[in-house]
Amino acid sequence: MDTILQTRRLTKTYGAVNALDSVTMAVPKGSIYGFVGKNGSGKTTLMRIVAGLVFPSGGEFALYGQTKKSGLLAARKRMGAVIETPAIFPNMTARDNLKAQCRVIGCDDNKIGGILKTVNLSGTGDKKAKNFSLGMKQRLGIAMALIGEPDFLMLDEPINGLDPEGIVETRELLLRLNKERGVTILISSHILSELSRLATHYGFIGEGRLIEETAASEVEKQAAGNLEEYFMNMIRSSVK
Amino acid sequence: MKNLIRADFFRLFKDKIFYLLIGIAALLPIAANALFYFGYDIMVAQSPDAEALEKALKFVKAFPLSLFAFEISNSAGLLAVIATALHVGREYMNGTIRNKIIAGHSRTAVYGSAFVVSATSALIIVTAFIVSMLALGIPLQGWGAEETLAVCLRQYAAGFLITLAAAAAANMSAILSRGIIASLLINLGVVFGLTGTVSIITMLWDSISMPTVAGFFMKTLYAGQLAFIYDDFTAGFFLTTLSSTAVVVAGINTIGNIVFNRLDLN
Repeated sequence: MDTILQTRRLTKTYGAVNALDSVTMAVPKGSIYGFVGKNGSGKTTLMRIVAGLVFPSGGEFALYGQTKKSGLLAARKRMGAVIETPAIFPNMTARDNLKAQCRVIGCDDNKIGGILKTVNLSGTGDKKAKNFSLGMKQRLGIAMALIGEPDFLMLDEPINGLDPEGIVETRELLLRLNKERGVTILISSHILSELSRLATHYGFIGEGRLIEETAASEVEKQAAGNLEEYFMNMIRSSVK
Repeated sequence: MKNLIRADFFRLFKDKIFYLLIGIAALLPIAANALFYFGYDIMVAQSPDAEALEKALKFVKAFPLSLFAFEISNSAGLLAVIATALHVGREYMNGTIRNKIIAGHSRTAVYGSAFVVSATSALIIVTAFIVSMLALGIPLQGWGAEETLAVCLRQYAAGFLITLAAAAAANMSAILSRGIIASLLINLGVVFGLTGTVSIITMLWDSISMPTVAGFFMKTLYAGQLAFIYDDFTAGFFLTTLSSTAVVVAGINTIGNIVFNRLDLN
């Protein structure tokens, strides 16, 4: 299977702290890759490096097979990401936010209506983003990531703080994108029960190190699909 | 970079604070002209050294329009610096600068686009200042006894160039400080620091004989230019400003871009 993202011994240090410690992982094309780990385990740092926001201290990564700077810039045009908080302009409407992002990537404004419909924000009219609920802001952030029609999405805790309805809507949106458009998704979440409804592959990370990488079918086989149980067992055995 | 510039202008022209700053830039010369016109006699009458003040005011009356170039760099420059700090700082505050990097734009393009927009917003603010100043200044103060169109235009151009250098510095500090508050504080600190330096240079003015090594540096440095713009109406001064602005803008942008290309972003 083709790989969209491949990291090799990727490392990031802040002073004496190893935020990411020699992580080697692969996100297969067409997968929904659940990235699981405690707070501060290095999930966001890895996503930041892939997004070009943070520079690695060691190792390398390939995005669509590209490892060099110019190749990575071109490869990033094919990806979208929401890292930590949705990056939106609070004083603009949803439509104007997307117009601004359209100009950044050079796309046609005609796409905006369709994207707003996809994330269920088409009825927000003149309402400014600062007045949106957390779920609406999250969906607008995803819409900003989707406007360039990426075939790789990186989402850092996209269902954090969402109400049950928002969680279901986001889950359905991601499954639709994956199944209908073939979008590969790297997603991190603390809500393991929710992640287990989405993911086809998992990467477990702790204290900056990748503990295990496995397919969802393996979790199904070993823990009857109970991701929480699988995760806890794995943490216990890694401590031993 | 074309796409980034389009996106930055889209955001700039949707920003109400930017229009507020343009409005303030237009109001400042109105207030200054009115104060000078209506308060001239009072200022002279109440001054402890009326003779010295009147001599200074006569100089102002001889060049009422071109002297405002100093204020262009000072007042309009201050507003331009605030506009830049807010425009760039907000991108860090709401995290939208990430959208540009994630979309595959190089750091150099992001930096360059921010500078283009900062410089243009400075030009717009300075233009608002000049238009307002001429609209009220000519009817109230008249065309000064020694004023010429060439001197006037040269001084305005010099004022804009100095503001352009300030915009480049503001852009660098806003991008590198990675926050709206930090960038505002740094930028305002720099502006007030420069204004203080200008006062010192102006006080030393009579003791500096030109050309000297010290004089050359004073003319070349930003604060020195601000001081000189008040007193030097020659074509030579304008050329010095033009060349040193080019050096300052290129230097600041090069250093800022090199650092930005090594900076981790939140």
